[in-house]
Amino acid sequence: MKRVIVALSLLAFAVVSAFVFTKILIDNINSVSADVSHLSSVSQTASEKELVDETRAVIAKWNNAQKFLKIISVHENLTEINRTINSLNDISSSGNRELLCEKCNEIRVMLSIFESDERISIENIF
Amino acid sequence: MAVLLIRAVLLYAAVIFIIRLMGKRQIGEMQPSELVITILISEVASLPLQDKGIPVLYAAVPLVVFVSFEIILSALSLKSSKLRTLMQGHEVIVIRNGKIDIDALRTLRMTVDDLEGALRQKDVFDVKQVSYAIFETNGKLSVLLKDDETKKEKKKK
Repeated sequence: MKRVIVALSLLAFAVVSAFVFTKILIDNINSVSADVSHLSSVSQTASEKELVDETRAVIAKWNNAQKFLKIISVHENLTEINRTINSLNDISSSGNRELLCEKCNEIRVMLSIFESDERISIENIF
Repeated sequence: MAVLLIRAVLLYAAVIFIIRLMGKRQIGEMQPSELVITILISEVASLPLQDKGIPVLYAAVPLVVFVSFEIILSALSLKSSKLRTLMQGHEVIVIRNGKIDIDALRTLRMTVDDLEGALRQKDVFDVKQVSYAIFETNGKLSVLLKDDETKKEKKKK
């Protein structure tokens, strides 16, 4: 009986954790994506200093989110996103606004693909 | 390298905990489903050791699910004979009173040669000597010889 209780507890914990972690992952991705969208929208109008600050804020948010994401996602899936987001710093410092906007759109697409791969769906299950 | 070492320690602890939770059974006594789960556990546990990019949770969650279902279904099988039959199948009598039941062998996808080979491993070289031969749910063959049956009846008297 003790084994069954332990098994049931572990199973409940695994199920709850899986759903909670998936939700937290999706929330994190959406939050970073929203910030990247915002950066993209202000990339043409903001001053250089504001642009650099915004970019650094996005990178900091991503690096923070990544600490959790690496615990629950395959690292290979995050490598390209990580590299692209961290390259935004140099791009914003150089003042190339078109390239910054382009990179932001690229990042949003990558984040969207990553989020859809982690979502609970029939395609991902099978 | 240190990461690999720590992962190995964590996974070792997890696997030992899981094996202890599953209970004591020798490989030869396991039901087919138990054997499959045991092999799956070792395969899944090794994934984070093969690739550092795979989180430990990718092994931990499936391991927990496998062992939990195994224990819960085993416990339920004790209460329900229908579930037990569904999970483990049922015994098949292949020899009755020295006569081989070909239909029964067919359900097991076995030939008479396979059966005779299994009997020889039990030191039985003549099918006519067998009172009953039963294939158990774990794949083992149980044999009751006519001589043994006679001796038991004499003892009862």
